[in-house]
Amino acid sequence: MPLSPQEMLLSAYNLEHTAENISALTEKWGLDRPLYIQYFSWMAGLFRGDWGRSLISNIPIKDELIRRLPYSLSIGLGSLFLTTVLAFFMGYLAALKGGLYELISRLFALFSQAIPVFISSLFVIYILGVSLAWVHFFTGSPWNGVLVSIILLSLASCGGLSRVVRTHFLELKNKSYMKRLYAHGMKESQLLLKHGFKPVLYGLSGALVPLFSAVLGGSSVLEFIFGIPGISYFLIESIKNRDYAVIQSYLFLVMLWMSLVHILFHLLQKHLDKRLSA
Amino acid sequence: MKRILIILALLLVISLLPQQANFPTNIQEKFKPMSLEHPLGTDYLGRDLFKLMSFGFKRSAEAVLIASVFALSLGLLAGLYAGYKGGIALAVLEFFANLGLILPSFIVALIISAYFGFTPLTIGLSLGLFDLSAYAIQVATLTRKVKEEEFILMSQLLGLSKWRILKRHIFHHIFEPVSALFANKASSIVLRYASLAFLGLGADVTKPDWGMLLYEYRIYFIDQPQLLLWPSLGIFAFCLFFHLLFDRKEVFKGAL
Repeated sequence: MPLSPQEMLLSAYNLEHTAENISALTEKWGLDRPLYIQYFSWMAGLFRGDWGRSLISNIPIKDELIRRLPYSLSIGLGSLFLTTVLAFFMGYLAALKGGLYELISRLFALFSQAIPVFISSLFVIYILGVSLAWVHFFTGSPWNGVLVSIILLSLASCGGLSRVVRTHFLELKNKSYMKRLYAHGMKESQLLLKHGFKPVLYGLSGALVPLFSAVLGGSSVLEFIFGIPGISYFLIESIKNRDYAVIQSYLFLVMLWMSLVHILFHLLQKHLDKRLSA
Repeated sequence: MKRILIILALLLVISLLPQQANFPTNIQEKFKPMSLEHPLGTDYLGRDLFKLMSFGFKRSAEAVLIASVFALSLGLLAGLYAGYKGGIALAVLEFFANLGLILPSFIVALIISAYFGFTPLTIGLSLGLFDLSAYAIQVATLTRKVKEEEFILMSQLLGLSKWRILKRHIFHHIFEPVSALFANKASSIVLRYASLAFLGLGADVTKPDWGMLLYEYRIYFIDQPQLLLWPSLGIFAFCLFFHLLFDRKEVFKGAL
């Protein structure tokens, strides 16, 4: 199995792996320079907006990533939004009513930790795509796959989060200001939703940040299965081809994204709990 | 104690399962149903599914073992130390652990598997490295809480050594929540290992994993669903095992 990008490119064009061919490519890509110079020239290019070209297909990486970003971004943001809403209400009902809702929340938590998302997606492809033939996953628009990915990812992660929400609501029930409002005759369901909304969302937002990185991993599997032309699918293909230029840019993008998420959540937490900003 | 016995029983079962690494193909015997000779039937190449499954089981168990031992031992030590010391040690630990929590571990494991090959060792270590931060943060937080308790102050006044307090008093207090986190992380390693094998970057096709089997058999989803059933059930049962063993409180609270 060839490991260097030079050998991969030569194999892709059916050229012989001679020492001359390899050294010519090494020189062309500047891989013979010291590592720190390569790094700085890459960073300098990045800030000028030149993200380099793919080593195998010679496409400008930035254009390709921007073209693919809408798919991945919709999967990521859509599933996070749906997860938060589902987890919040599942946890709320489990804390308020218990019984059946408690069981549902617990079963979701257990099954999401025991069924990998690629198995459930195979079921969905079979049921919706083959036996009912409602959706054309591979021949139709890639947005079909995006929509199903959002639903699958949020179903897979809402169970565990709903347990977090439930614990927060149960803690909240015992707070003295809640008991006071309850004694004044407010309904428990309205009380928890209206006055418990902020503290619970605050607790939930702490648990959401690690989920962002989990969603990146989950979406890479789903993009691979549904053939969605997103950035994670691009990454998998590039890793297969040893296309280092693309992998570097992808990692840079992901780090940028995660830092942004971290800052945004910090601001959100400050907004939810005014004591933090004081 | 009971848990240790169950884990030893699991290791015994794994060592008793057939473990040869060659799987003879026989096209004439493909898609055989379950029989005495082939307990789970045969696949599209006539390979014995039971042997493939038990080989994959061992590899999954290895990955979980490596990742858990690595993450749990280092995470416990770092978390106990930083939580007990506080101050700069805690700030440093929190900084690195937060970094580990926000990095997409799955993507990093994907890249590592492509460069260094897909083996339980490489995957276990790369997944364990990220679980390390989750353990360290939880242990540090719990240690700080327990440290405030009066009995710790008493032990300090009695002149017990720091190591003894950490080992005998604090560790026993934080054991339950940490083992619940372990159940969560161990089953998620089984899942992530299967997902990585399903993507199959850097994988060796002669060494079957449950995820890889599912990838190979996905085209027989309609005609031969039993091929997909067994690896899926394997993953499901293995994850459930960790939950029932280490997270009983959460699973059965109220139900029993």
